[in-house]
Amino acid sequence: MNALKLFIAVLIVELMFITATTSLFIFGLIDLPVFAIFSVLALIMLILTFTLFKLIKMIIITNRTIVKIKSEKLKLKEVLRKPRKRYIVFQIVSEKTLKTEEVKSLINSLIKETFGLIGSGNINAKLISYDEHSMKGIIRCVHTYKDAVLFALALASVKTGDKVNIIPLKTTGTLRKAREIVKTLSID
Amino acid sequence: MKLKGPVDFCIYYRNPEETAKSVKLALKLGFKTVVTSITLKEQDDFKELTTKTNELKKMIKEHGFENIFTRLHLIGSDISWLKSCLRKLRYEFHIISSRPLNVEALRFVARDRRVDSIVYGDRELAKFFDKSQMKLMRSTGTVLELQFNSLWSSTHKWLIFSLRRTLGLAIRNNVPIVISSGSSTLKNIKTPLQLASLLVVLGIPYVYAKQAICTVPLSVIKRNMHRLSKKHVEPGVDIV
Repeated sequence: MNALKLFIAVLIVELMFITATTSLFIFGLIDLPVFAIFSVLALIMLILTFTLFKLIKMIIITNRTIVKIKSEKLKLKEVLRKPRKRYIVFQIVSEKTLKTEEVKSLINSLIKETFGLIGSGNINAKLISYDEHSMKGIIRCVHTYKDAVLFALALASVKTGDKVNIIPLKTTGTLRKAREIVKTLSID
Repeated sequence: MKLKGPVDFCIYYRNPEETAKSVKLALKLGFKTVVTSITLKEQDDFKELTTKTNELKKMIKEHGFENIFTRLHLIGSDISWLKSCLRKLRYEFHIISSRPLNVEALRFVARDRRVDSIVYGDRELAKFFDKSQMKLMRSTGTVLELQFNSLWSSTHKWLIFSLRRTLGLAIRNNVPIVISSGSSTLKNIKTPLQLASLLVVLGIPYVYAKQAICTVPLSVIKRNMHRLSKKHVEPGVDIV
C-alpha cells in the first residue's frame, strides 16, 4: 500500500515535469532539442519508476508468501508433533463408594456422549489408576484435549443427577508427579 | 481486603450449613472470591428474603469468610415487580442479577443500570439475545452470565446449540461474559478450569475464557463496591 502511494506521488511529480517542459516549449522559452532531451529524460524516469514499483511489489509479495509458508510450516509441525500426555488427578465426591469399573465406564460414557466417537478417539482418555478408598484417580489424555476432558468431567454431576461429582485437582505432565499429587492433595 | 480472581460468581444459598460447606469447598478448589446468591421469584415473600439475607450475612460473619459477596437473583416477567424490587433491594446486596422470563423484561433488565448481570438460561428467550440486546447491555455495562449447571438441566437441554451464536454476538459487540458454577450443593460445584473449559470447548480462546472467570467478575464487584460506598453520588460524580 505504501509502495503504491510512493509510486503515485513520483508519477505526479514526473507528469508535472512533463507538463512544465511542454508548456515552456509551447511558449517558446526552450528550443526543440532541449525539449527533446527533457522529454526523453522524463520518459526514462517514468519507465524506471514503473519497473521499481513492480520490483518493490514483487519483493513485498514474496516476503508475505515466505512468512505465510513459515507460519504454516510451524502449524504443521505442531500437528505432526508427537502428542504429549497430560495426567489429570481427580477426586470423586459421592455418597457411596465407586468401584474402578464404574468410574471407568462413567468417564468413557461422558467423553463419548459429549464429543462423539471421533472426538473420544482424538482425546484418547484412559483411567490410569484409581483408589477406591480415597476415591482419587488419574486420567491420561492428549495435551491438546485437556480442556475437553475437564469439560466432560464437569458434566458428571449433570449425568448422574447430582449424585457423583468429579473434581479435577491438578494436571501434570508426568505420571510420577501425578502419583505424588494423589498422595498429598485432597479436598477433604 | 484485596480482591483476587478467580471468582465463582454464583453459589446459590439454600441453608447456612450447606452454603458454608459449598463456599469452603469453592475456596479450596481455587476460587479466591465467591458470590453467594439468593433467588427471589415473583411469588416469593419479601419477609422470607429478609430472613434469608440475615442468615447469610450471619453465616459469613460466623465463619469469618473474606471476599464473600451477596447477590440477589431476580426471576420474573413483570416489569413493575422488577422495578419495585430494584428500588427496594439495590442497596442491600453487592450484586443484582436477573433471569427474565419474557422479552419485555429482558429488554428492561438490559436497559436498567442497576442490574449487573443477565443470566442466559431460557430456551425460548435464547433467540432474543440478539444484536439490539447486546447493544443495550453494552451501553449499561451489564454482563452476560452463563451458569454452568443450569445450561444442562432437562428443561434447557438444547440451550447449548444457541449458546455459540450468543457468545459470538456478545464478543463482537464487546459485551463482557461471566461464567459461574450456579451450584447449590457440594455435588455440583466446579473448579475454575472446568468453568473456563466451557468456553474453550466452544472455540473461544483461553485468554478470553480466563477473563470470564477472573477479570470481568472482579471488575463488576469493584464497580458495585464503589457504587455502594458513601463516596459515590451518581454515575460520574464522586466525593473526593
